[in-house]
Amino acid sequence: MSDNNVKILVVDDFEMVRVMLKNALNDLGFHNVEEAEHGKLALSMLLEADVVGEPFGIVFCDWTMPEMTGIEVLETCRSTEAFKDLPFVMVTAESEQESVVRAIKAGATDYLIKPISPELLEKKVYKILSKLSSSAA
Amino acid sequence: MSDIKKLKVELDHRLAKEIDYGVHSTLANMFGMKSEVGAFNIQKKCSVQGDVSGLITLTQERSEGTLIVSFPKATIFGLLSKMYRKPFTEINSSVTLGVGELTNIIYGVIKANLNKDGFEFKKAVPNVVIGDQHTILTCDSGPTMVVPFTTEVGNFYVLLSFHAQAQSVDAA
Repeated sequence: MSDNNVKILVVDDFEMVRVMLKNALNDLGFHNVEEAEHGKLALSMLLEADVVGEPFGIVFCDWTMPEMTGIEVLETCRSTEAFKDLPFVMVTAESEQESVVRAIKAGATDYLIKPISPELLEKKVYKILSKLSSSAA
Repeated sequence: MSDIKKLKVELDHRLAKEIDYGVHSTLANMFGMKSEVGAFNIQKKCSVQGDVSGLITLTQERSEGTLIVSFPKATIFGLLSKMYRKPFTEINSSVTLGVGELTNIIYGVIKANLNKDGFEFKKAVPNVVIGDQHTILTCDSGPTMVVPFTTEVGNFYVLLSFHAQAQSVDAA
């Protein structure tokens, strides 16, 4: 599987942000991108994909969502054996240091602050893919 | 005493600059679109000029106000058409939710910069108001800063007002 075939899950309750992220990822050559509009759906999609043997390779998850926050999704992933090492990028409109530290402490691989820059998104994706390929080597 | 001064929010050039930065970075990053800021003016009352507006309540320990991002239909349709890569011709849930999220993101940038200087604005949830040249009754009664913006798809406005008591904090 080439890097550009990595399966990516975008989780945000706002359609506009999901569309922006999906388009930006498509423009970078990543076309295997799926969307979830809330955390519970994201978790069920992660589990289902794992069961059928087509797991997601990266998750971009919004912090502030109704029902289940991004931090709760992250914590659930990290306490689930199948997803404990899943690259998980927290997306937040909160740029305060406190929020970033909390996300990293909870096990986020990285974070993105809204408004999301396509250039920064590209750097983060390739950084994750680079780590994945070096750990697989 | 210096702490009290730090908490005062003035409707001045510095604040207009923060609003400009918030709008500019949001449109450039999310839409790949440039925005030109015009000269701000101070209205005695809050008067909204757009058709779809996102509003968010700004709260900190010593003051409370309202930030409004107000779009004429043509502008928000143009912005979202660029984002979604398909035309928008009516106000639907994608438009209202989009305006809410745009307001939230612009506020997030402004808040982060103001909070670096100790203003300590808190998290807030945006609301959206729809209607041709609508009125926002919850608009504060104090003076309102109106910052106009121009883009390739049209104009829009950012309005910011604070309660009168917040403006008097520094004078205390």
